[in-house]
Amino acid sequence: MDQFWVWPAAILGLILLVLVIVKLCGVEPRDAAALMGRAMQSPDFWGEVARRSAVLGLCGLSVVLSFRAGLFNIGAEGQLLAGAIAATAVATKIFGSETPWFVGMPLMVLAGCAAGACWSLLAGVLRVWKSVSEVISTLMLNLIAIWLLRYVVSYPQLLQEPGSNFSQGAPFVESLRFSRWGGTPFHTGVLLVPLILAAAQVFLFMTRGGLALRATGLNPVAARACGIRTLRLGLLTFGAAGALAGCAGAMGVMAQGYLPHALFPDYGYMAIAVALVAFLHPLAVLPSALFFGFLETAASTTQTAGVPNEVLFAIQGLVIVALLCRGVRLPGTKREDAPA
Amino acid sequence: MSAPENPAPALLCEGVSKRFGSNLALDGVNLRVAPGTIHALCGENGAGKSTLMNVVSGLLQADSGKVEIHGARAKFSSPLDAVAAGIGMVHQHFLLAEGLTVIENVELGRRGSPFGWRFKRREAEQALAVLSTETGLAVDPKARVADLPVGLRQRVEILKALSRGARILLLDEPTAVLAPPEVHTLFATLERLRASGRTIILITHKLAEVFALATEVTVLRRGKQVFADTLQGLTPAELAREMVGEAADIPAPVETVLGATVLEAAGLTAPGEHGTGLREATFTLRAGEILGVAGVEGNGQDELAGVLAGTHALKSGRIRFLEKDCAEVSVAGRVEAGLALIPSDRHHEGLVLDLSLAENLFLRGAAGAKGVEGAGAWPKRFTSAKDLNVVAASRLREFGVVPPEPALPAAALSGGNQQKVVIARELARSPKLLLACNPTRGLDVAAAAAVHARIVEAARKHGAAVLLISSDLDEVLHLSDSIAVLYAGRLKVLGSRGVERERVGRAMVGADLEPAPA
Repeated sequence: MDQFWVWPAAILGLILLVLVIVKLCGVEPRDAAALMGRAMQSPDFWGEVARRSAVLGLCGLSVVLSFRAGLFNIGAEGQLLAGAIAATAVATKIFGSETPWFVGMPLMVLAGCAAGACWSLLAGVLRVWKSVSEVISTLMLNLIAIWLLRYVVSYPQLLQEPGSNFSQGAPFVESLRFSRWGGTPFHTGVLLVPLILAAAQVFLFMTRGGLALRATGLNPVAARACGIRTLRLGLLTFGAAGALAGCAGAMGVMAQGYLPHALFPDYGYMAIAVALVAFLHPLAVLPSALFFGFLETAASTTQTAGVPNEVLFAIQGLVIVALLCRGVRLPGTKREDAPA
Repeated sequence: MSAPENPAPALLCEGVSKRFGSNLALDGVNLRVAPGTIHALCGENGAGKSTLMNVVSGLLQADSGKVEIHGARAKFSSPLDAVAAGIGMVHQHFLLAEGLTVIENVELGRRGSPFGWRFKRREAEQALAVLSTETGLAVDPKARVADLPVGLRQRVEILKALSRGARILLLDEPTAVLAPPEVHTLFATLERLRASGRTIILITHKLAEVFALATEVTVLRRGKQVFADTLQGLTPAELAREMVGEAADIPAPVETVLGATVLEAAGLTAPGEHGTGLREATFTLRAGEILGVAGVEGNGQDELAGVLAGTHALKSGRIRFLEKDCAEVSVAGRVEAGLALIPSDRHHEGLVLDLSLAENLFLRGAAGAKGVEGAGAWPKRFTSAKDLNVVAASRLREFGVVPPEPALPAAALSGGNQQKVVIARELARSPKLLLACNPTRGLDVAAAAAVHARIVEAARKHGAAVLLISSDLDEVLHLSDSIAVLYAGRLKVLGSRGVERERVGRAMVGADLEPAPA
C-alpha cells in the first residue's frame, strides 16, 4: 500500500468490527477476548492453525495458478475431496499394516494428486471440447464431490469402516498416518507447504513455463501469436491446480487418520479468498493462509462462548471486498487503457 | 498583456509538465497557437504530442504549468470542461459506437441538450444539416457508422466536435488511415474550417502534410519543446532535423538475389469480420524477397495476415510454407517452422501490456519453440527477472527503445516505442518468413527508417521472405521488390519495383477495376 498508516488502520478497524459483531451476537466482548487469550497460549491452538493453514495454503496456490492462467477454476473444494477419497482408498484397500511409511505415504499423496488432477481435468476437457464455462463446471463438480464422499463412506463395500454404524472410513494403520507432534495437531505434512510455495514462486517468475502461463492469463491473443500453446497450457494448469488441491486433501486425511463424511467444509472457497489476499503471489499465500487459518481456528474457539461461526465468513467477505477495491486483477477483466 | 494588433493566442501552454511514474512525458512545454490558423505539432514517438493534447482536451491533468484558451485561464478537470471551453478533439482511433447511426453518435453524451431529455431525432437531424451546410461536410445522418468507410467516419468525428461548438479542433494523425483521395478531401475540409474562423492543431509526423496545410509549427522532442516558428522559408530537411536531431538515414535499394520459394498461397478465401474478407488471394514469395501489399485498411489485410499466421480460419485455398502444406498447422507449429509476425494491433496482439519489457522480449523464448535460438532464446532453465533484464537492456538500446528500462511494464511506453519492442522480439532470431503488418504505424521518421533497415536486412542478409502489408503507400513503394494491392478482398500483383505511385493509388481505391459482374 502507498501510505504507511493504511495497514495498521485496516487491522485496527477489523478488530473493532469484530468486537461490534460479537457484541451484536449477545456475547460480551470481554469474555470472548479472555477465551481467545487463553486459547492462544496453548500449543494445541497453534498446531490447529498450522494444520488448517496447510490445507488452505495448497488450495490457495491451486487457485493462484489457475487465476494467473486466466482460468476461473473454483473447484478446489471438490478436487480436495477427490484427493482425500483416493488416498483413503489406497490406504485401506491396497496397503495394509505391513506397508512401510516411506512407501505407503508418498504413494497415498501421489494418488491424491492424481485424483485431484483428474477431477479438475473433467472441467478442463469440457472447456476445451464443448466450450463449457469452467466456473459452472467446477462449481457443479464440487457438489458432486461432496455427495460422492458421503456415498463412499456409507457402504462397507466401498470405504465405510466395516462393522460401524457411522458413515466414516476405517482408521488408517499407524504407518500410513501423520503422527502428531507433541500431541498437537501439527504434523510433518505442514512443512511441505512452504517448500511447495517456494517452488511455485520459482516456477512462475523464473522459468519459461511460468512466463508462458502468466502471458496466457494476461493476453491470450498475444501469447498465441507468439507461438505459446495456450490450449495445452490451459489443460496442464487444470491438472496442476487439481493435483495441488488433491495433495492437500490427501495430506489432510492422512493427518486426520480416517475419512469422515465431511472434510474441510468450504475450504476450497476460502482458498479463493486466500489467493486474492495474496494478490496471486505464491510466496504471499503463506501469510495469507496463516491469516485465514487463524480466523478459522479462532472461530471454532469462540464458538464455545456463543459466537456463531458465520462471523468468520463475514470477516472474510469484508477483507475480500476491501482488497478488490485496491485492484487485484481477476482473469478475464480488461485493463484500462494507458495514454497512447 | 497583448498588443492591440496581436489578439490573444487561441491556445497558450506555458511550462506544462506531466510525469508518469519515472517517465517525464512533458517537461515544461510551451505552445502558442495563433487564432484562425492551422498549426502543426510535430515530434517523434514518445516526444509528448499525444500527452500534451490529452492535457489540453481535459483527459489528463498536468502536474504543473498553465493553459489559456483565447486569453482566459483554463483548468480542465475533465473532457467536459474542455468541450465547454470550445475544444474538440478527433482521436487517431475513433471513438464512435459502430452499431449506432451517425446522428446517434453525434448526439451521444451531449450534456444539457437543448432538445430536453427525450431524443428528438428530427430536431437533431436538422441541426446537423445546418452544420453540414455551413462547413460543407455532408454525411447521411441515418447511416450506421459500421457501414461507413474510414474517411466518412472521420468526418462524423469532426462533425461531432463541431456540433459541440468547438472553436479549436485538435486532430491526432488524421491521415493515418486515409487513402490518397480521402486525404485531399480532408485537406480541403480543414482549410474551409480554418477560413470560417476556427483554429486547427494538427498532430502529425508526415512532413508533406505539415507543408501542405500549416502556417506555423511546433516541434517536441523527448518531452521538451525544441522548435516553434512559422513555416516561411523553412525547408523540409531542416524541419526533419529539428524533429529527429540529425538527418534520417534512408537505406538505398539494393540489388536483390532471390532464393527458393518459401511461401505459396493459392486461392485463399476467408470471411471477414470487420472488412471485406479475403477472396481468392494467390501469390508466391521467395527467400530474400519483399512483397509489399498496399491498400486501405479494411480490404482484407487482417484476414490475409491471419490466415498466413494461423490465427484466422481459412475457408478454402492452399498454403504451402517451405514445401509443406500448413493450412492445418497451428500458430505454434508455424512459429517453430520459422514464421515471425509483426501484428497490426500491437496492444492486443503484439504485447502483453502488464508484463515488463524484458518479459515481452522473451515471449517467443517462453513458448519453447524449437526454432528459437540466439537472441530471444530463454537464457537458462531458471532465470531471475534481474538476469532477464540485463540481457534485455542491450536489445532495447539496440533497437532505440525509449526509455530502455527492461523492468518497465510495456503499458508505460508510447505506442511507437512499444512497436520497437515487438520488432526487437520478432527479429531476434532469423525468421524464414516475416509477416509485417503496418510495422511503422505511429512511428516517427527516425524510428521508421530504423525499422525499414531491419526489415531489409532480414531479407537481404538473412534471406527471409517478407510479406509487408501496409496502408502507408510510401513505405510499400520504398521497400518492396514486388508490389501488390488489396482491394475488396482481392489481391492483385501489379509488378516489381518501379510501379507508378498513381497506378497503385488508383488500385487501392478500386478506380481501375471494371464494374463487378452482378
